[in-house]
Amino acid sequence: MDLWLSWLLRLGVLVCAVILLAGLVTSVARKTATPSNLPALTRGEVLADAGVVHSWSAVVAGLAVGSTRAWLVAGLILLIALPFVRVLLTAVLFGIERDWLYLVLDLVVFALLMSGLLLGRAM
Amino acid sequence: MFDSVLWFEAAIIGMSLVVGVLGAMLGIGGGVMLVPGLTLLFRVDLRYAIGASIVSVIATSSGAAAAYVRDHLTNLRLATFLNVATVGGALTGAFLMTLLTTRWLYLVFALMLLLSSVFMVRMPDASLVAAGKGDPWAQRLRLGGSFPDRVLARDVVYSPVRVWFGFLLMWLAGVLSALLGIGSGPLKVLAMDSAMRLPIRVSSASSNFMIGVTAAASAGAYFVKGDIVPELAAPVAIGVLGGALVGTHLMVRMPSQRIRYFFILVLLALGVQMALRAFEVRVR
Repeated sequence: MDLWLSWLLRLGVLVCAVILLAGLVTSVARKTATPSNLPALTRGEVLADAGVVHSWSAVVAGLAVGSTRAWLVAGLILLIALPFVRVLLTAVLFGIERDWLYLVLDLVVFALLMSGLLLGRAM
Repeated sequence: MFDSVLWFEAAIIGMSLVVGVLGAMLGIGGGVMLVPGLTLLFRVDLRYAIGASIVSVIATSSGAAAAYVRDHLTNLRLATFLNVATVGGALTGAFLMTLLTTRWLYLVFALMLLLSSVFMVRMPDASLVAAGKGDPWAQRLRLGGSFPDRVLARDVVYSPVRVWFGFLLMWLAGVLSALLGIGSGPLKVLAMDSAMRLPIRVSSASSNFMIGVTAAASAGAYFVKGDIVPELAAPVAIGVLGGALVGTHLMVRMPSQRIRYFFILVLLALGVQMALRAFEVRVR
């Protein structure tokens, strides 16, 4: 069972890599990737709008339009989400084994991960 | 310097590739070299470098997951229990980052590099695996397990000791991971191997499982905060992934003494550079 889990993760990484690579290639081809950001980035400056993702709808809208930045962001979201998924699926594994203590413990880990997102919003 | 997007992305990918290969070969992970590389060579702001690095940690650890579980070496209960510590630590670290100035972050990073090089010099031998049932908490929480040992041609049963000390060390590993954008793999393995006396193969496998989860904790926070720049994090992740892929296939698992000493020098040099950088930056 846990073998499926790691194969799923590897597949997830592959999908992310493809998305990110595609996003990079197109951004280079189109000479976009918010060029105004790069000089500032390499001068060690703090960017006004660096990685800020304003909302889910903004990302989806960007994807629909074919914005390369939205694709990069989507790939990164998926990548960060992989361990979240891993923790959830491990919880399912514990549930199948009827190991209630560890199911709860794993859900605690998941809750902590989610609260990290809230922390980010507060920071 | 980088007026062309192509050159920038290519250069980032190139550096990340090298970091990925070295990290896979030496087992110390890419973050330790990635953040200095991005800040010293590309002059990227430290927090963006950390954000990009922590994302690449997720990529490499998730990509490598299959190998360890295949050998049934990963102890899921142990990893889950310790994940409470590492994720808690990561959140603590992410919060700490808001309290520290950039100058202090550079200094902490430099200190970590120097300690890592010292650690590599005094590479510990395989520690004694605790015989017996481990400590009471290990039994209560059923943290023990077994794995088939090919050499001994039988199943080896193990159980950790000093469970709560290990928990504490894992918390610390989580703090460092979030604060510095690294995987803290060596520290995790050290905690499991030396403090909790677990077999090294179980430690390595379980550590790998935890590294991605730890990194995701801080990555999530940094992403929402806006410290992950897509144009930076994407090429870094791709480069490190590719490098790790190449690195593991190079079959140079146990590096020769010469390579190790060279690497120790590199860590020292980077540590000094990061410390120097601490005094260059304007306080943010």
